[in-house]
Amino acid sequence: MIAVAERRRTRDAVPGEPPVVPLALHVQSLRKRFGEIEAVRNVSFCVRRTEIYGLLGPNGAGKSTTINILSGLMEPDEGAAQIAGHPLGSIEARRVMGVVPQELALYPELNARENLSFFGQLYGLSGGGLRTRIDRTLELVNLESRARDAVATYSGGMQRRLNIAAGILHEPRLLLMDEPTVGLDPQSRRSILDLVQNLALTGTAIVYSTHYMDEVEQICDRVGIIDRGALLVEGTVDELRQSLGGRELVTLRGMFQPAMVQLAFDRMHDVALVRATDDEVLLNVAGAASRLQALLGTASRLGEIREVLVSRPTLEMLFLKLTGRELRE
Amino acid sequence: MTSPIVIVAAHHLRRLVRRPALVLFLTAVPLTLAFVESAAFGPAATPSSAPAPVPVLFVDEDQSGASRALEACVTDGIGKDPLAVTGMESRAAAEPVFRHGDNAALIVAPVGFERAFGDGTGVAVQFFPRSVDDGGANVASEVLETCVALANGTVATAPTRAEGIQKLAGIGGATTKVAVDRPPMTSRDSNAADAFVASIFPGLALFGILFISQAMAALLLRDRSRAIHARIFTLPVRPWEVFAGSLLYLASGLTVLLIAILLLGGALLHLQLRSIPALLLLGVGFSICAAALQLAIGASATSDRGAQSVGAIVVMLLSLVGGAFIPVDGYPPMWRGLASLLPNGAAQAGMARVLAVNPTAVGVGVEVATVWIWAAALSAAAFVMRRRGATR
Repeated sequence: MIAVAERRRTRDAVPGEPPVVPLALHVQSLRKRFGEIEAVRNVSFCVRRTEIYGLLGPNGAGKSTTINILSGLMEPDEGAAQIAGHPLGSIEARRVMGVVPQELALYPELNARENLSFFGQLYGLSGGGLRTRIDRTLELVNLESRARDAVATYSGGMQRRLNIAAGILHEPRLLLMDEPTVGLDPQSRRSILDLVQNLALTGTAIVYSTHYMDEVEQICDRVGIIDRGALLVEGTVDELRQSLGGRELVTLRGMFQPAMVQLAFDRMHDVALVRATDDEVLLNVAGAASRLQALLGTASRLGEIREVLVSRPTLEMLFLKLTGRELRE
Repeated sequence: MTSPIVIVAAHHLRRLVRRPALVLFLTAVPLTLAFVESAAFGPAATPSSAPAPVPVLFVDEDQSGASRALEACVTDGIGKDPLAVTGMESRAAAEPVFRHGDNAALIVAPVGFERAFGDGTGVAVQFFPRSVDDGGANVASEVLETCVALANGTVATAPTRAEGIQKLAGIGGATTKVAVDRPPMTSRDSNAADAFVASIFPGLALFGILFISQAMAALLLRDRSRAIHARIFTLPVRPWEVFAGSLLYLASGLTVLLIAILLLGGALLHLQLRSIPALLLLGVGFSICAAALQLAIGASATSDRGAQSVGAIVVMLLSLVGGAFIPVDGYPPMWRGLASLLPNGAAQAGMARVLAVNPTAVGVGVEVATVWIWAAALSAAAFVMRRRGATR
């Protein structure tokens, strides 16, 4: 864990000192096994009110399992969590929590209003209060004009927005979103990201699980990077970028001999070889702009360079640095 | 605030009502089967008001006035409508015809018949029925006994026996009604057909309910594959409430459909719906059985297709062993015992008795108890299996 993130977390937990912002979610040492595979390994994190917490990791990292445990669909083998002060899995916790599953959890033969009415009733809403909430939510997800149409006739983006609407109808204090933009076109994705940001402004804490780095960078206040079931690091996007020490990612494309590349760059100060293949070399470099000439000189002796790419520090780079793999792998 | 159980049940029923074509199709299945089976195997309804006359052979060995009077009574008098009498020349000629033909009885007025009247020793008419259990033979017996009684009465009331014997000729034209001891005949001769329908209809109706329960449960299975099921378990609703709502949806829907099928059976197949409390107890109990069975199958299967396949196999096995197309009473005794232990076998036997005989709910107490024990056991099993499947 990096220092800044640790400091923020401990600030809420200082005995005798009231937390600056109340916690919407407090996860402690969650573990979950499926046979030999440990899907979630000692995961702990907190989410404050109005905060969007990004759970970033590749497919199979343990994001969905973590979300499923938090939403009460799975029981953890170990660990605990509190949702707005209520123990995980309790009816009280479910009442203050909304869930937006990765799959569309809607009745396609019913219209938007009927779908929301059913879920709203199970949240304890009824009568005029329920109707008002449905109207307001449909307006929020921009579906009021199609409210009476069967969901089966909606576009993918509209169905995703209604999927979110069903999770926020009761105005939850914590919203768990599991990859809500998977398979959507850029316009629909943008619309959902705006919606998530607006929700946070209304006071809802959001856990946003995704493998899209750009989404996290755009909307999340804090990010936890998860891989192979473990939370590797967490902090704000800026904090995480800074944790790379102002390093940049240099990508060399051409023809190389990986063994020679390893030897050559190991000797260079402040250059970390991330990966070397026959046609690509990835380097993590501090102050890449000023050292580019030296890097190219070394690389040209090892093979043929066809393309050079220098990237600003990103979460992708951090993930690479932490795991040696790319997020999309 | 409305209970989550009612919310869940009402929600699914509303979705079902959105598909009236499916409901009508499913309801039509047992009725169509009943029509087909009734037409193919049931007793044909005769349009005539009278039953077919019973064929009988008569041998007059005495060839006397008294024996001719008796034959006239049996042939043209009292026996005119119920019997079709063929006079035979001799016992020897009659025996092969009787042995190989369709005649229900052979009546012989033996040698010495008239003399016996004269002596006052009584009439010794010989009556040979084809079978003691045969309805036709019973009719012939009734007619003969009436004629003999008439003859005895005529002789007894005459001043002298000789005068009485002379008066016997009068009984040949007697038209006294004969009491016939065989299944009652209505104006449309439809009671036998109605009894047949009453015996086959419950099995078909219950088979229809099992069949329909599968289609209704498919709605819930699709919810699971659409992740709706998972979403519901994230809501502030207890698992048993969701289960009870699903059970209520299936059981109430099936009960309503069973009532509709029985009412349609009454209207279209002249089924007499008697002892309504007993029918309701059996019907509701069986609907819960079918509902819980489908929920248990859905909970134990790993995929929707698996659940559908297992459901189809279970429905067919239950229908085969418990009786669907054949009434349980038609099974061999050992198989009948097994069938009566199954929910559909017990419900079918109970309903058939209610429809045919009209006992009270207590009268079919064993069947009602069997069905409700199954309902409770299957519901408990389905709940446990669903709970295991919901949170792993």
